[in-house]
Amino acid sequence: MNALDKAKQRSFQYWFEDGLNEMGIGCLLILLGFYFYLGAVLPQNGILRTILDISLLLVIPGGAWLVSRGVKYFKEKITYPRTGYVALAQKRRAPLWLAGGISGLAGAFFAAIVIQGNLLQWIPALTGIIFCLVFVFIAARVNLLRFFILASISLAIGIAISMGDFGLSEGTCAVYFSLGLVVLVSGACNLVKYLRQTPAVKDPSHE
Amino acid sequence: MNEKAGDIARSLAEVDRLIHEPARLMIMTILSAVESADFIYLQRETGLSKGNLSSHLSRLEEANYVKIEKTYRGKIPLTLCSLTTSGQLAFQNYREKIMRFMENV
Repeated sequence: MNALDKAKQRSFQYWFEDGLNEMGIGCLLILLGFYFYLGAVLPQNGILRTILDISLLLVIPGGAWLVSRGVKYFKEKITYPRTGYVALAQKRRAPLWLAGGISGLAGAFFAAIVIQGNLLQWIPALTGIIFCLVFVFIAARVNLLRFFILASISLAIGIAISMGDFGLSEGTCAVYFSLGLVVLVSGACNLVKYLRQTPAVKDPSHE
Repeated sequence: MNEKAGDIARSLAEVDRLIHEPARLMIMTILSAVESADFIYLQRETGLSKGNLSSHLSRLEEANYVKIEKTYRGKIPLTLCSLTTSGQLAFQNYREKIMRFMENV
């Protein structure tokens, strides 16, 4: 890896240095866990269930928007005054083999679900596999060990919950809650470490 | 063989000396890897003092290699730096010359 690639990787690493992005992802996963929890407890044919089903269209983009606003707010308050701001170079597209692999895996799984209904039990495992791949992709890009650990934990949580056979709604709820909690705690630990290592700049003037 | 060695040595003399200075080379390398970075990020990544970084950035700005925008984020001053198009070209040119030199050494 040459100096330019290292500088590029460093800027990607910097984006995850304070743990705020992980905390944001963790909050979003917990929100989704709560959504699936409501799906598990509400009666199947009630009006509330219908509202809940429709609200999924708002929960994901709305939650992602809220989380990104929150992360931006806290980065402006905590990170930029301490260690500065960097705007990343134009985002690279995910490698074709990776995008194809994930899509193929998901497609095959859903095809199998359609053919054999009992495979619904393995949806939490599929969720774990997808998050595992996402974390592996991030880890490969930023070269941070903790994302490999998060990838392994995601896989383990997904498989363990599927093997527990909690049922579709409960299993999905459990996998999102557990993953969200793990990612949130990982981010919080990293934030504490970051705050300890980087005191706020007392004089922010540059000249 | 001596003639070739001479050519190789002379090719090094053609590199952009403004970029070749180590501190400025660090700044150019970082800025070429990102879209923009503020003063604090550059200071942290390069390990340069405030005055030193400021003076090197001014030299690069004079050469129109770096664009410096001074704004405020709330009440906090924000100095945002990015490479200009001519800065990107100059850096690319510098890299090619150095790489050619290193291949022949």
